Amino acid sequence: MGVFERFLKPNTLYYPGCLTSTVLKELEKNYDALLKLSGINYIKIQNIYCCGSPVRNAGYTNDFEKLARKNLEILKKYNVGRIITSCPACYHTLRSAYREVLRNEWNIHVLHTVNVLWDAIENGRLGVRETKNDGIKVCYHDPCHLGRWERIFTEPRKIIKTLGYELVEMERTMLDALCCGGGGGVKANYPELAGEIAKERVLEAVSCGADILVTSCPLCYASLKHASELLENKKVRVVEISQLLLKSLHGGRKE
Amino acid sequence: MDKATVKKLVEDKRLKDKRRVFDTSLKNYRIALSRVLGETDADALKNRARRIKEFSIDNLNDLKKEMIRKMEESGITVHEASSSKEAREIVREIIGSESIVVKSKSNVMREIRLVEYLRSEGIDVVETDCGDFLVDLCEEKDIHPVLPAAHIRLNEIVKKIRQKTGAKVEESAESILAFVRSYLRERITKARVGITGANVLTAEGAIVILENEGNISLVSRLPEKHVVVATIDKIVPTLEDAMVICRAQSIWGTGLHMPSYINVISSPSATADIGGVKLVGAQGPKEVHLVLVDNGRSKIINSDFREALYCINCGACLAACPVYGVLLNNYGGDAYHGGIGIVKTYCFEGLKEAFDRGVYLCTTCGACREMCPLGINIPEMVRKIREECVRNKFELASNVEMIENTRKYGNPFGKVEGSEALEPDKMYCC
Repeated sequence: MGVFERFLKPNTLYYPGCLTSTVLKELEKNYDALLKLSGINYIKIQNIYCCGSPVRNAGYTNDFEKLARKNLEILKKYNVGRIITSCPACYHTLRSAYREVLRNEWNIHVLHTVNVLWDAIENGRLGVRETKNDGIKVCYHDPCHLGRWERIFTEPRKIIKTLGYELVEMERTMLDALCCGGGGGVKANYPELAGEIAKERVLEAVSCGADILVTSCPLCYASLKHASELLENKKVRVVEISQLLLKSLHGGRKE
Repeated sequence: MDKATVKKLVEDKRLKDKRRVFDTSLKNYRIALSRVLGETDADALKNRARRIKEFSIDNLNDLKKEMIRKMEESGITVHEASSSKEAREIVREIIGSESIVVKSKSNVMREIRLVEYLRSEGIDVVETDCGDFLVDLCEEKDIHPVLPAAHIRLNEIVKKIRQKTGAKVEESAESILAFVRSYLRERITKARVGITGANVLTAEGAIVILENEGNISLVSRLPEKHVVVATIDKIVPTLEDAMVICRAQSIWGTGLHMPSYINVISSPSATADIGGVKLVGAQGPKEVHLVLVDNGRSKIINSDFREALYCINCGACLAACPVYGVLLNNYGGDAYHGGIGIVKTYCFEGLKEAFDRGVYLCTTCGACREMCPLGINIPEMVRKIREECVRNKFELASNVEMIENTRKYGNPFGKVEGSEALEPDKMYCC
């Protein structure tokens, strides 16, 4: 892309979210690889701030508004027209909560990686191997911010099926999905409570007969994985959807 | 609620046992509910119920005036109580010198702490709802608005019955029920005052109470005085509107299309069969009193917490709540549990109480809102209370670290070298 194009055409930003960029760096690498394989041109911004999700949920309204304004300024400076994030909390915050405080000033299109990657698969830009996963049962844990709060249920399930896995559902799923226990600040404020709920969710995955419990949220992933270790559960493997995707990929045709 | 208290509760073996017992009821409820919802146009019903409640709260003052006028015309005495204390004292006065009263299940009576008060006045208050009776007998606390005793094991109940009444009861649900039935019948026929709540009130002057056990019919018919304690947010325009609310209450409260009984009470009992003169007090009560409780409600009509007034106390939100699933009635207030309980505790008792009863326990997952027949956005109200907490310095240590990191470093984790092994209580995200 030339200098002039860069000025003319709004940029796409990949915004991993703080948990992914500071703690679960492996996931960020995964998404970098997947987005590149999908032929998506994107930028990353090192000095961007937290989206404000934990700040808002904890009741620090003024701080939240400040973060939204500071981020808006940075995004304008980088001429960002579209944000792709792999974090459901960031997705919900950027997509819905920013509009509440920034009103019409906020006109950036926000996408979650499950939408972007499913789109790439469907359009043949991201090639997947389908057959090898035959007979492996996978259940999908709907992250609250992505499912209930933003109504994204089908794309992740289509991805799982396209990869050749057998999709099974837990007792409570989609709109009724049980939270991983970590949202709303509970993970940090009350770790034992969050852990107990996460264990219940892992056991639900075990009882639905799944071999793999997959989710598309870094916090759900960390919570469920931790609970699975505490339970010394050997039946279900907890993975984040990027890990599942990378295993079954070969590059597709480029954009 | 602080971290240590919650840790203790999560690890509490007795609470774990209660959860196991309660889980059976919850599972049965979920199965029944999903079957009934499958046979119902749930969205249409939800929309109708929501519109009725929105209209009713919008026009509350007019509807209330109209209702009081109609009721007084038909012989129901209406007493308005602005606070819990006032409500308790009104009921006390109506009871007069009677030494025993029978009562049915009611959330508002818990809210205004009526039973404790009447007992402290030396009055024998008999719970006639089977669940409430067992909770009372076992000196427990109710676990759920519809299933108050679903956490108590049968052997515990049998032990208490033997201990307190000497009755020999077998360890079976049938045997316990047979005892409860005969024990309560004797008390109900003896009492001259019966106190009930109400599910709906109508501006046309009707008190509508639904039930499955039949105790409310007895408590509201057999004694000479029937006292109804209900809150102002129960008023809807018409009986038809009331039936929509009853339908929602039945479906989301119990997983049944309709309850066994719906009581519609619009005057004291009367007859004109003797000499053509109207006489009050035939087979039913001679006096019907409605104690109409405000207790902070009219103040929240135009606030961020208005939706709390749409709540019909069906308890469906609790069945969906991940936190209630672990902490049961330790989460929320004494009268109202879970997230909606936190909201009501805040509205009726204040910020400190809401903080102490777990305003920070909510994961904001939104499962309650999906489940709620009125679509009440509980997480949003919880967030508003948290804003109040921050303004008044009711903060949790982890949140303080989170906000300090965010202010200083632009992210909640501060300076962290990437590692999946980060301690859970440092996972400030979401």
